[in-house]
Amino acid sequence: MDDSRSAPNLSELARLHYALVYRYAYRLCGSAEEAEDLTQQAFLTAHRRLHQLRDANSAKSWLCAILRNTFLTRVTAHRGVQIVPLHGFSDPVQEQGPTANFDSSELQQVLSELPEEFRAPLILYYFEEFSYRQIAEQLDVPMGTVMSRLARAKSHLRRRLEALQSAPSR
Amino acid sequence: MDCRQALQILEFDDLAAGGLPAEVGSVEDRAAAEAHLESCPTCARTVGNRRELDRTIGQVMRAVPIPRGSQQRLLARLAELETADTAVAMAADDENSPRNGQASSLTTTPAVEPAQSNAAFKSRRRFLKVVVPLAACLMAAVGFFGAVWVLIPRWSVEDISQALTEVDFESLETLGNFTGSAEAKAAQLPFDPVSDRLKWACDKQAKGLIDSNVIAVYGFDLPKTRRSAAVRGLIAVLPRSRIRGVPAADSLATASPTGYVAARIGDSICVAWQQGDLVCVCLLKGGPDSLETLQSALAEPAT
Repeated sequence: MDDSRSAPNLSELARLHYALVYRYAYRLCGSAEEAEDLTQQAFLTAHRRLHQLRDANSAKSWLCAILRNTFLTRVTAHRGVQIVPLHGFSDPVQEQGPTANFDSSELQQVLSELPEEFRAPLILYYFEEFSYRQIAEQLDVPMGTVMSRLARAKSHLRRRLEALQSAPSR
Repeated sequence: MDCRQALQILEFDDLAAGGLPAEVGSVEDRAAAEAHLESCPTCARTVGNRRELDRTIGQVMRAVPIPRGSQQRLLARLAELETADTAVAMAADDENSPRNGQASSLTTTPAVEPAQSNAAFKSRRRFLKVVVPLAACLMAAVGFFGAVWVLIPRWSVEDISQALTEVDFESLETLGNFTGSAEAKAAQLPFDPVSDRLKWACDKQAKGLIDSNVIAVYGFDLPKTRRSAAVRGLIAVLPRSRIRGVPAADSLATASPTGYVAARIGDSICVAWQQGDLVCVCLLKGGPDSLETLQSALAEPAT
């Protein structure tokens, strides 16, 4: 895979990047079953479009972009995701921040509340697999838009995690 | 730099996959923000909490268990598809191979990677999608023009001269004016024609030419002078593409008789020559003497 000019082998790409693509799918949709289905659908789409991948070094971003498009297609079809607008949220200046005491499901709950355009860059940011520029290219938005969405989404994430931990039911 | 500015600049970490973009702030801005933390314990605590929380979020975010067997199920599915693609590509290769019937090169070379074969096949399929219609159009065009070329009637000089034997000056007058080939109309004839006409009621073989309006027929009548006798004749002008066996002479002055015929204008001699993209066929009343007379008259300087 080090030769970007060679034709990529999708099975090899699946061995290398399946975990990343699956985790991205899971964080986007919040369901293990749906994530596996989304991941398989994304790789099948990649199989049909493999000729479009010119640079094997960009395969990871390419696969994630296909995964996200697959997810968006389903969301558009079902409209089953409850979202909360981030309008009105501003960056906290002197937040205390929650203690690092939350689990994966609580994180997923907060993620699922976010609109997809905020959720996707946030997931990619915390995966630490991509540069800011790669995230912007993958989402097909300007760099400034990515940074703005990330700042607002991180702020919302912190607030919601803090709220979850301070809730009496917890 | 105030607290808000410092916290905004320090919101983003320097991701391992790449540096901080310019949108976050300049190197100097970031240094100033870091310096702000030295003098502001509140911001230092906030940034510390954020970074700790970010590390935890990152760890939890990435800690997604992969369902057992899910990757293997995908790989098996991809293997099926790639095998099918390879089979299709090999079948296409067999069909397109110019050495069909001989030992396949795939049996003597290492197996190609399925995805490479898949990509190559798709690339070849796209190529064929473009080339095949173009080739078909080209072949159709060649076939069409070839058929037209074959079907266009052509005549020999003898055919034309035979047709001219049926013409006289009176029948010329009954025909319509020539409206066909501008080149034939503008042919630089060696003498002024008496009249130019397109059609004449004569040989069946020439009917196609006549109907297609590609031949011009002129009548000429050079008067008797003190040094030469009168010469009368007919001349047909038509594109050389319509003539089988283009005559070698390139002017009337060098043309030789091709034969004697009995024509309506009297016993005549036939001569033919090429003139650019045209061919002229001339029927002269009389024998070789008439041709010599005409050639001599044309060789004389105009008075």
